[in-house]
Amino acid sequence: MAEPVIETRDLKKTYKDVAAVNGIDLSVERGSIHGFLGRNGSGKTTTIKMLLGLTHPTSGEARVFGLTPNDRDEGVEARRRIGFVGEEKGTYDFISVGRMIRFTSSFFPRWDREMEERLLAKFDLPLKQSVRTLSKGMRAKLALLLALPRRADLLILDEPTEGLDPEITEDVLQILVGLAASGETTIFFSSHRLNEVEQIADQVAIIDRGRIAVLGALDDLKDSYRRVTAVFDWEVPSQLSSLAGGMPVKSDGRVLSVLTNGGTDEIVNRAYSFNAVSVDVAPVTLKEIFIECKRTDAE
Amino acid sequence: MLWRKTWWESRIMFWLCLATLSGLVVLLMFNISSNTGWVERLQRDAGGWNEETRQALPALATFQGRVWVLWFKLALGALLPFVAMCWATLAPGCASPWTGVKLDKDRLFMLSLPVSRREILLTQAGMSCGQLWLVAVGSSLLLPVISHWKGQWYSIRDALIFASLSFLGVLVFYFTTLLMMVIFDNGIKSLLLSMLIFAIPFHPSRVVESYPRWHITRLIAGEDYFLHGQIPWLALIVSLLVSASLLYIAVRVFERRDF
Repeated sequence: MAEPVIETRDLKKTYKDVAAVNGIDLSVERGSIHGFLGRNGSGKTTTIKMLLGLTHPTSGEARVFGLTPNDRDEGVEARRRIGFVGEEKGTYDFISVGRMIRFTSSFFPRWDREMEERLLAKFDLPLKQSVRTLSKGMRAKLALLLALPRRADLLILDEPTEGLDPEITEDVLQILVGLAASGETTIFFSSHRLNEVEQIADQVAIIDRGRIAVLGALDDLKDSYRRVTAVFDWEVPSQLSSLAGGMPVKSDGRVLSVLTNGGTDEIVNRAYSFNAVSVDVAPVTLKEIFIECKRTDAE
Repeated sequence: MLWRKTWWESRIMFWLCLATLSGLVVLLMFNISSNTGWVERLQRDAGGWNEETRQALPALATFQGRVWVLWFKLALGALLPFVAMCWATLAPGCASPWTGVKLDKDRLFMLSLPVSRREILLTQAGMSCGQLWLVAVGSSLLLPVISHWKGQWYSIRDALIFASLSFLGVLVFYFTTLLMMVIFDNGIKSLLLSMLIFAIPFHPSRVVESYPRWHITRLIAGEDYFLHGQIPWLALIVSLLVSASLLYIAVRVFERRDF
């Protein structure tokens, strides 16, 4: 089996007494598109910073291409193979778009000029305009333009489509899928736009309070999770409040709804045993899994 | 390319400082009036000065002596350390100026590139030092030019040596502030702390009288070269060793920091 592109073992980062990342075990395979999800402050950005060598782990281990990112020499070698778009879309305000591109491309010998020109045309970025005067959306486009043509083996993208209009977003997603389809590029990206993650990711990790709450292939997750909706003639029986073995139950008058991760048949049978009028089992979206994970944790 | 980027981000500061110091040289040179009052003042105050300064009275009474006191000892000697400290806080390549917030995103971009933190910091320090030297030398070279234009004479060699001594002396100020910046990531705090470290023990209070040998202003003003015609090698070596140590610590701290 090929060595994972990203591998973390019990990765922890603590700031004073607060655990930003609290024991993450991740393995990202080559050529995969890995969605990295979590609410604000869940530890996504800290994890990404540790993968880039910007932040040192308190304990545990992070490896990218088998290299240690916070080692001086290995970190440089790892970053040479990484394309990164930060959440803030950081670029230099004091130079023009053209200079920004030349500056960035100088660090990447395999820079793809053809893709650069294609993206320049698609994004309609004016080369001579100062970065300072770019709108938020234009900055997001520039940040992508500075990351995608690197011919990177790994793209780490933190909210890459934030600020982009739907048409450009679709183009960017197609580019990402195309890059991953070649088998050469691995994509590790975080996003709050779950429909986009669902559209392109084949692996998903949901992080909450510094821990991995859900991890696996997106198709497997969607197969294993089901929404069970039971309708009763009267109020939902109180005995069904612990129906899902830990998963939170929503009941609204005569209707009970529960998201299950296994044991669907048992829940259906239990609902019928309490004289449910009808029981419906339906597939779920990533958004439902994400929200339910947050609710489970909160409760 | 890292050098070019460092130049792009610091060029305004460079031109501003060069223009300001050059403007001061021009103002000073066009306001040096006749030597009469200057010589009278030297003779009047000489009694209160140390022996070393009294022995230098003939040299101080010349046009060259007056230019040295007014420019290298007073103006450049007081301004260049401050410029160096400000330079260390304003160069945004490694540490953000003033609040640590505004340039955080730029910094993350820089640090995500395949370049080591050591290289980033050393490039920034190298560029700043080069610019500081050019500012010191560039403005000081106007002295012989304007002197010649006014029918006086001032040695180009002396201007170069005095300016270079000033530059080498203020490196301690620059690297102290740079170290503060990588530790505290706050321009105002770093500047104030650096000023506190130097302002109390090295307060430049003497106009003509020479400073003791341990005083950094003696090196910055080039007193040994003016008074005795000697390059103060020992002071230079000590000063450069302290600067190198400060840079070494700054690099180590920068490499260990979280962003």
